[in-house]
Amino acid sequence: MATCANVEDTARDELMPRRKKHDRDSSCLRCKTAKGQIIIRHCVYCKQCFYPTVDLKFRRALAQLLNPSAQRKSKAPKQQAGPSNDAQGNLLLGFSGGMGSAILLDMVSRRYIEDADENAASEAQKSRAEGKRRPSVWQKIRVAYIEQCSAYENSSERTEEVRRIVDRYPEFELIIARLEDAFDIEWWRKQGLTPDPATSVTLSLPSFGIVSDSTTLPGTPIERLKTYLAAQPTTTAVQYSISLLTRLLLQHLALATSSTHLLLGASLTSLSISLISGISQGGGFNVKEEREEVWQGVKVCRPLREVGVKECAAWLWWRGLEVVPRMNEAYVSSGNVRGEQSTIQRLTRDFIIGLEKDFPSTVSAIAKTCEKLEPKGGSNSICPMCQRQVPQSGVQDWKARISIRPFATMTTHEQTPPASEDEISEFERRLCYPCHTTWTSRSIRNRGMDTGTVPLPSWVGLAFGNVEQMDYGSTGILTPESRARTRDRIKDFLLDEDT
Amino acid sequence: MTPPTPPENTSSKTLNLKLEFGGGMELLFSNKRSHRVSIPAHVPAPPPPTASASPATDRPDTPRPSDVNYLIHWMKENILTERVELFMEGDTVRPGILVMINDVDWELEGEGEYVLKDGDEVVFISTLHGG
Amino acid sequence: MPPKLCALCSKERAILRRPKTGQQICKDCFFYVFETEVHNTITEAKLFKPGDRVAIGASGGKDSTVLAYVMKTLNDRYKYGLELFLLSIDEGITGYRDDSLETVKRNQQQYNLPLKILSYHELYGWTMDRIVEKIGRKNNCTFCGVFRRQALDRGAASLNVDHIVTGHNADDIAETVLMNIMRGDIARLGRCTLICTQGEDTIRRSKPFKYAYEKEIVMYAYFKKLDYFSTECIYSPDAYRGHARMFLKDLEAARPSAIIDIIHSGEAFEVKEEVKQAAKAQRKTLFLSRPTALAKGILERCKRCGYISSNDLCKACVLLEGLERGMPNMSIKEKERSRLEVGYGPSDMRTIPKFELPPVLADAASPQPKGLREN
Repeated sequence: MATCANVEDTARDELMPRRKKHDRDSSCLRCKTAKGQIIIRHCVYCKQCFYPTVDLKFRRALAQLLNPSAQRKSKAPKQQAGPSNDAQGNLLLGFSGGMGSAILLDMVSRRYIEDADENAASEAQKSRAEGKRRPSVWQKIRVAYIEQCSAYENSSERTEEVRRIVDRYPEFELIIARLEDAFDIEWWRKQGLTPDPATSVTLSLPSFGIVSDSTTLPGTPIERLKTYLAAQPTTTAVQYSISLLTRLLLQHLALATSSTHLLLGASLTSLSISLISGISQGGGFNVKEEREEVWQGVKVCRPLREVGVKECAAWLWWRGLEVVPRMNEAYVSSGNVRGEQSTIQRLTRDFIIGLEKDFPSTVSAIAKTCEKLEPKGGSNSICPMCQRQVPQSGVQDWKARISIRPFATMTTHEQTPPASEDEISEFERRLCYPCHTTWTSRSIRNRGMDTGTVPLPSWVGLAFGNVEQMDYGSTGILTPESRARTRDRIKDFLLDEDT
Repeated sequence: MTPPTPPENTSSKTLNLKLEFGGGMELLFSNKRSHRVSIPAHVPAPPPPTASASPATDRPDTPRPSDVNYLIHWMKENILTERVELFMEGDTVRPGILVMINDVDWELEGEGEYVLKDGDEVVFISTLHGG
Repeated sequence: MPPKLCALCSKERAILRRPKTGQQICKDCFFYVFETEVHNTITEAKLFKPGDRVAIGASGGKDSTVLAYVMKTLNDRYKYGLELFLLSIDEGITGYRDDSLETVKRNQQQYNLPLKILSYHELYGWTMDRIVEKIGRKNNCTFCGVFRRQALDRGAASLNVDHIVTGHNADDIAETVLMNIMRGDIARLGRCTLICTQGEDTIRRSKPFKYAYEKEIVMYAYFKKLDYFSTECIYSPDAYRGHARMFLKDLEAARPSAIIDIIHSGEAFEVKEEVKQAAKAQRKTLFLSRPTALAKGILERCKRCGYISSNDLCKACVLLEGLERGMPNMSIKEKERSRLEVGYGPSDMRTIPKFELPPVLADAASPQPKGLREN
């Protein structure tokens, strides 16, 4: 419709004025004496006052994580353990080499190590009053880095640079895993995460049949990773998959190291970007988890979630921290993705960062709005891919109604036989919306969905291992005959050679 | 803001600056974190075609003293080695790059209009290498 | 290479690629899936019952032109039993609305539907051209929005309908979801994905094109050779929404399902109960449907024109008085605070005619069961 389409909204638009970047007076807002050195959302601070301002945001988020009942009134269902500190296990810090995680390491080290060492210092005593139990929150602190270079063309290994940076914190133990470990059953065994005998699974496309195979998967883990990524129909899906593999490897590492908490270095800006990006990929049901989630007893949290990207940059610079940047990389992609550069994730990032320049409050508005949301309706299952909650109301039915495809019932139209319920495989039925969309949503430019088999990450095997015993019905495993039939039924939309 | 008076008004002079890069920005500048450069003290005429329209361009007789906007163009022409789109958008630095002049946020110094002095230190920190 | 066959019927040659699914299909299958998806939307949401009198908000643009055509087609094909009307608002914008209204008049002939045109001029005594002349382009959308909303309800009342369908499409809704998140408007975020909402009065408003892609609406109009007027309002400003729209187009280009995926997201979350309670304490009408608010006495009628309002004067009366008194740029809040005279204003000042509920709703409001409605 025309620009006035959403009539009632227009009255609100004037609430988004461009404000002046800062107040006229450019001395520090906090100490009122020193010359201002940085503007954080209209407020001017000097360097000395900048540190505690940012630090406070970090501590507040951590306090909320360690002591949720103090923040949220009453509604603490199971854990009425009261204000006691529930961090008795180990801590795992996710380190990507990026800015946020570099700051995360610095802040955790400052907060839990340095301060504890210099107990005598007056500064520490002062903050001791507020922080009390600081020194012994976690038994052991580890840093996990997931090497992603196998997922990109022309990419080089960064583990040595990462090691060099993490070595600055002798109190942290570095764990390095690789993206392809997700497909390496041996790695899972070593972590003690897989029952014996372990089961690997592959996915048959386009039918979404699961084939379990307790013996071998073809190829090396790297080859399996590459096959997996190459089967993704869009670059958006490739990026989604890399993030998913990384997140779940970190979570499983947390489990394997008996960590009660996994901290990630997402800043306010990155959080807002991933919220909008997730929503744009259909992940509205999981908005809450994007911020904070509990998975198999591990609390996943982003304690920089109130610290904007500009604060991060200044912190990084003034504290002399380093990042391990990446550039000139293209995703691993084979036949599916052609000449397609932009991903939803990247577009969202550019959009939000561009917007932040003219409308500095947008970024925090996004995070604040999403904090007020919760999933509609209940959930009684977990997506086998992303391990997040799936709404009770089915995803596939909704999709079939909104966009008629040959799979859906085309009752009055000849030709296509109505698809019966049981032709959707158990695996497809259990996928959440974003994971399903990742496999099925194509771009204008690429050809149809891949056919053939794709190895799946090992945790799917844990959920879908021993398929026979779990009685998913005969539809779960496709015999060659039915696969051929399915393929035949949809072969006509595995179109095109044209662009 | 009022520009500090440049030491002398001869257009042949140069300014010695220290440029620093952080947050991965150095990848675009020969992977060197710190650069010492000399740039013209005044914007050479004719101004670069993409340079922002400034009042000085209307009066070619008074050479415009070099400001940060000019420095950004100078960097693009002289020391940028990769992917200009990761450094600039339009006539200025791309959103998401924090610029500090002598350890002060450039937004407090008039952004691109800050007139450079000999010995200034300008820092560019990329925020694009996120999480 | 042989011509590509339609992905759906495997008979005809594929002539288009569906923006929504990426499938290459033939023209007839496209018409079929487009119409059937709208039908699914309507039946799933149980939008209508036989005998309903429904006004189609018709602007002459692509969305409403296709909506009028599809509503008529579906009403005939599936025997909805609806009485359909075209309802147009003439904002008085030269070079924009006057041309597009000609299109609506042609549609009236082609589809043989009764048409009602209501103008700002006859209702408020002001055209948008004159308003812009007076106030400039800054807040003109506020005036137009408030005025159009009330004009639609009044038009519906005069047609004696209780339901207006509008041409809002999937792109519009996805854009609104994003906008509401970015500016933290949780009340609207909660309801912007609803297919059916209650207006300021008890008249229902629905969006049968909720899941229809803008591109497909254009394609449909193109292949059906429908007659529509394409332009954007000459006064449309709003850089912020413009950013959101551009962003959505980019997302769609990266992955076309993004539009529908955003709507799915919008339907999958809701505002936390405690947030709702807190917000309600501040503003009682928030999160309440209009009829409920009316029944609870939270909403009342404008003391001057009788339109539903949560204050003594409705927004349109407040804005109109500002215009008439030459102080149009005060915000609505400021005007409410300045205690404008309630009741009929000064005799030299123009006011809005008295608002009456449409008879269908007046009936429904009485204790009789709704089914016993007479024509």
